[in-house]
Amino acid sequence: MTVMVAQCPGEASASEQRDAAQRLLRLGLERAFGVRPTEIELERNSFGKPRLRGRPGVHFNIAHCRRAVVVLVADRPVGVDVEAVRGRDAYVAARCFDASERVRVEAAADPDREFFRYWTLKESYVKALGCGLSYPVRDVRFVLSPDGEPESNKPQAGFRLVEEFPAVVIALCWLRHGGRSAQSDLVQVEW
Amino acid sequence: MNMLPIITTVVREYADVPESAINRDTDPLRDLNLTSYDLMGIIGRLESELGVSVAERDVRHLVTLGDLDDYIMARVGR
Repeated sequence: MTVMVAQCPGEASASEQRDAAQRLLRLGLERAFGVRPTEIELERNSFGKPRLRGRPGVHFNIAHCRRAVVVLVADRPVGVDVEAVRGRDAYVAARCFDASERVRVEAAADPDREFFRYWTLKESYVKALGCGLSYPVRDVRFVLSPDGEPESNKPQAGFRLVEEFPAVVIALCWLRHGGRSAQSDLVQVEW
Repeated sequence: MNMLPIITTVVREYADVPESAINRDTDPLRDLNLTSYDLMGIIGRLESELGVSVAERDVRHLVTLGDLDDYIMARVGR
């Protein structure tokens, strides 16, 4: 898997985020699969998840927030999410986290960052499935440890957190094919 | 009677837009640049304040704030 990341030096507008995402997608597809920008033709599944027309073996997913844009390119279905670390939303926790996750968030050394670890992991799974808001995110649960990869109740999926960027949390999800693990190649791109 | 004024107040805590930019046809993800994270916060807040429950399977069908208003109005006081 190739993880393309561009950090915004300030706060990016919606159009700046979209422009950066398109640039990273072009770079990522060319780097990982040799797909030239002129060969990129996108279509969407029934839930709106974009995919590359005529290239069923090429998968990608895009995430952006005001502080960063991330594109994940892989040879299997993937999902990625990024969120700027800020004050956690108790209403989101009440609606989307189970009781044990809420307890672990509050007990963490940095509860806000821990909160967004759980949220981005859940969102990355939903995005890997490609079914958008229709999936009940509370049904995918995690146990995080300081070392090692996140453990979840979804054996068909693998997860990884990207912690290199203090301002944001990035979560990756890939759907396992035959139990293969996934190596990830992190590429930082200038904003 | 409708819940749109309350919905608008909550939405404006998540989106930096004037009240005049919000109406029944507003799609918060498309028109206000909100994320699914913001939407979960808005729905969670409305559930808490209005005493209603929004099923996860229904969220994807609530595209506009008018859809959300109709959904909540049908459940308030149940």
